[in-house]
Amino acid sequence: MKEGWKRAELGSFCEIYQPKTISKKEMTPEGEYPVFGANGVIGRYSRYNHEEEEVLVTCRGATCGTVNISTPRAWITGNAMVVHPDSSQASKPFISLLLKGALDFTKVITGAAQPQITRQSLAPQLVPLPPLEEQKAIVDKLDRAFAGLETARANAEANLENAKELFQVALDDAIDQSSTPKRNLGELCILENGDRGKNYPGKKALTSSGIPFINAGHISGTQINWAKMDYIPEEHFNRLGRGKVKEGDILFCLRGSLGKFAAIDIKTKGAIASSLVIIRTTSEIDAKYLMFYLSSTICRREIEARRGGAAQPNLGATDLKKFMLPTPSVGQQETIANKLEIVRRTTDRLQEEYTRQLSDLDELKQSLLQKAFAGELT
Amino acid sequence: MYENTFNNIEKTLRAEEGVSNELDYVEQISWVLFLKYLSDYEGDRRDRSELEGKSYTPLLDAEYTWDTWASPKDASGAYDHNAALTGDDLIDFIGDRLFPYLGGFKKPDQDPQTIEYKVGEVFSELRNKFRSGYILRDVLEAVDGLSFNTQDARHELSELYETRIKRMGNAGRNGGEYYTPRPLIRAMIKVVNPKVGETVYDGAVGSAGFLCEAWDYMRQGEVSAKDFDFLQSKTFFGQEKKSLAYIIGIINMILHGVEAPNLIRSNTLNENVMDIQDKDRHDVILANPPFGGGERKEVQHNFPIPSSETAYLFLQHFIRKLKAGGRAAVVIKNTVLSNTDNASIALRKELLQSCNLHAILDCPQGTFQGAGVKTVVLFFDKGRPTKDIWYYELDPGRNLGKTNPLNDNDLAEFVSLQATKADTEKSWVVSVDDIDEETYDLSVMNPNAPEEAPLRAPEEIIDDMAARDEETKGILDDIRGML
Repeated sequence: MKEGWKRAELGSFCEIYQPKTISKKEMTPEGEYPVFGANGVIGRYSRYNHEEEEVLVTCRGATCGTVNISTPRAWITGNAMVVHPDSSQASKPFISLLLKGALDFTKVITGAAQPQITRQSLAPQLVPLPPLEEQKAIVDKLDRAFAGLETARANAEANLENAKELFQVALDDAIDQSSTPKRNLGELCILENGDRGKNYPGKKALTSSGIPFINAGHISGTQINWAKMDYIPEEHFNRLGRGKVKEGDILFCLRGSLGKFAAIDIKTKGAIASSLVIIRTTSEIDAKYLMFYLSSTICRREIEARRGGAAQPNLGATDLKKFMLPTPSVGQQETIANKLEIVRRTTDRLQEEYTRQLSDLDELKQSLLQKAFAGELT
Repeated sequence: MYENTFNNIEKTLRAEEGVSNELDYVEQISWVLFLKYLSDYEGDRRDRSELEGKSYTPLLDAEYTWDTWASPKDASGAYDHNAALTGDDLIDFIGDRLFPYLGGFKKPDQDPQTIEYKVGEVFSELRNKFRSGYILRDVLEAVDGLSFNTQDARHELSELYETRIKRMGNAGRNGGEYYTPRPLIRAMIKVVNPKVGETVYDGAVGSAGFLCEAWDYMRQGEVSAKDFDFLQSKTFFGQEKKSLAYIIGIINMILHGVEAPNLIRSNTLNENVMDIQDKDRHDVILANPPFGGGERKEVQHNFPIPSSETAYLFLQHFIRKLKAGGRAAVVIKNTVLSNTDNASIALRKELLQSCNLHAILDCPQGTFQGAGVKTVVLFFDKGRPTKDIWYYELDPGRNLGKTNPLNDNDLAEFVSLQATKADTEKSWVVSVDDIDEETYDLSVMNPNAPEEAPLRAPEEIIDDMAARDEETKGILDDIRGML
C-alpha cells in the first residue's frame, strides 16, 4: 500500500444507515424540501431530515449500487442508503468517488428476485483510505478529468452523427443535380410484384429449408438477413406465378418500414412476399446508382408524398413507377456511383472510429478511477 | 349505484356460452334492459293516466309483461322464486313465445313514431343468444334492480352503457362501425351549434352518439318546459340499417333521457335522393357514415353520382337532406379529398358548388380504434357555394391508441381557432379560386408546416468535426498530463 494509505472497512470510518421511509402518499408536490429516493429526487415533502448533503447508495431494486449525492436540507428516504463519513477521516466527495471506483458491488448486492444492499453487506467492505490531503487531490484531479471526458464523449457522439450526415449530404449532392434530365422509375426498371394470388404462402406453408421466401422483415440496413430466412418447399415455389428473384435484383419494401431496400447479391433462387417489390434494372440504369438514389433525400420525399396515409403506410408498385429519377448517361451514373462508394467507405470508417472512441473513453474513465484508488494518480 | 350491478352481470355473462364477444354482450344486455325500461315506462304511463282520470290500455298482454315472466313478485312484493321461470323453460318461453309476440308488433303500416314500432323492429330482428336459463335468470334478477324512473338513475345507466359501447368500439373492426369517439363528436357539435327549435339528423345513427351528445348540448342552460318537450320528441331523427346498432342506439338515447327516440330502422341509401322534399329536410346533420361497403347497382341508382363507395352515397344524401341555411358536419375518409376517379371528382365539385364547405378537420392516425383509414371531418352549410375552406391539421402531440385516445383538450384549439379561421402552423385557408378545376383536389397540404432543418453543406459538417476532434485532443492531452 502506498505511504500513508491504509485499508479499512467502510463501516469503520463511515456511518451507514437507511433513513426512515415516507410513502408516496405523504409526499406533496408543493412541499418545500426535495425527497431523495432510490434514484435522485422522487418528490417533495414538508420536512427535511438531513441538514447537509449526503452520499447515497441505492439499496433496492434494479438500480442497486448507483451512487448519488443529495442536496442540503433534503428528506432522504429508505430506498437510499446513507454513507456518512467521519469528517476527520474522509470527505464526502471522496467517498462518492470511492464507492464508484473502489467497490465491487456485485459482492455487496444480495437477493436474486429483489436485489438489495444491507448495512451488513456494505459495512465490512475493505476500501483504500488515503490521508485527507491526498483525498482532496484525488477528488480535484478526477473531477477535472471526468468533466473533460464528458465533453469528449459528447464530441464523439456528435461526430458519429456528423459522419452519417456527411454521407447523406454528399449523396444528395451527387444525385440531385437540377440540370440532369429526370425519368420515371417505371421506364428505367422492371417492377415485379410477388404472386399474391391463391398460391400465396401463408404462415403454415413456411418451412425451415427449401427456397427462400423473403419478406420486409428480412431487410435491414440494405442487407438481407439470410440467417433468419423463411423458406418454402420447391414444389410450392414452382407453383408461384411471379415474384421470383434473380441475382442483381433490388428488393424494395412497400409496407411497414417503407423504403427499406436490399440487393440480391448472391446467386440464389427465391420469392418475395407481398410486402416487397422487385426492382430489376434495365440497360438504362446502373444498379449501384439506383441504390444510391433509393437512399437519397429526393427519393424519401417521393415516398412521403405518395404513401397512403393509413395506419399501415404503404406504397403500390404503380406509385413507385412514377418516381422521378435524375438520369444522366449510364457512364456518368457509374462514375457517380463509384465516387459515392468511396465516400461511403470513408464515412463508414469515420463512424467506426468514433464508435471505438466512445468505448475507449468509457474504458479510460474506469482506468482513471482504478489508478486513483491504487494511489497512482497522486 | 349501478356499477356493481353491471359488473356482476358481466361476470355472470362470462359463463354464458352463447355470448362470446363484446358485441354479443352489448346486444344481449340491451334487449333485457329494453324490456325492463318498457316495464318502468308502462308503469309511469299507467300512474299518469290514473292521476288524470283517463283510461289506460297497456302496451303488452299480461303474460308478457316483465312482472309476469321476468320478475314475478308475491303478495308481499318479494321475489317469487316459485312463479319464476328458469332453466330450459325460460329459454323456451323467450324463444318460442316472447320474441315472436314482441316481433309481431312490427306491422307494415306502423307509424315509426310509436313505441310499438320500436318494439316490433327490435324483436323481429334480434335473436336471443342466452342458452342457459339459469344464467339468464340471474341476469334478469340483476336488471330488475335497475330503475329507469329517475334522471339520476338514467344518467348513471347511460354512463355505464357508454363505457360498454366504447369497449365494443375498441374491440375490433366490427365494433368500431358503430362508435365515434365522443370528444370528436363534442367538437363537431360545438362548431355546428344546434339550437332548440332546430331538427338534428343522423342518417347512419349507429349507437346514436351524435344525437345523444347533441341532446346534452342543447339542454344546457335554461330550457323551458315547452322547449324541453320539443327537444324530447321533435328534434332528433336517425336511421340505422343494422339491427344490432339500432337497438344500441335506441337504448342509448333512452338512457340519456329521450323517452321515445325517433330512430327508424332502414337503409338510408334505399331512398332516391331526388325524391327528398323540403319537409324531409333538417337544420343540422351530424354523422359518421360507414366507409367501404359496396352498394348494389339498384342502390347506386338512387344517386346522381353512382359509386360503390358507401360513404360517397351518404355524402350525396346528406347534401340533399340539409335545409337551406342548414349546417352539417360529416366524418369521411381522407381519400374523398384526393381520389382522382370520376365519381370522386364529381362529388367534390358538387359539394363545392351546392354547399359552403367552410372547414375541413384533418384527423390523425389512431383517432378511430381498429380502423386503418385516415379520416377528415367536412363542415358545410347549405345555401351558398364555397368561397374559402379553412383547414386544420389535428396533432395531439402523441400517438393515439386504445389506452391513449383522443380527448376534449386535444380538440380545444381546433374549436376556438375555427371561429376566426386563423392562420397558424396547423391551420390555413384555401380559396376556391386556387382549386384545380380539372381535379378539384382538396387534399390536406399544410403550407405552414415548419420546414425540416436543411442538411448543412459538407464543408460545414467537416469543419464541425475537425473542431470537435481538436477539442477532444486537448482534453486527452490534459488528462495525460495528470498521470
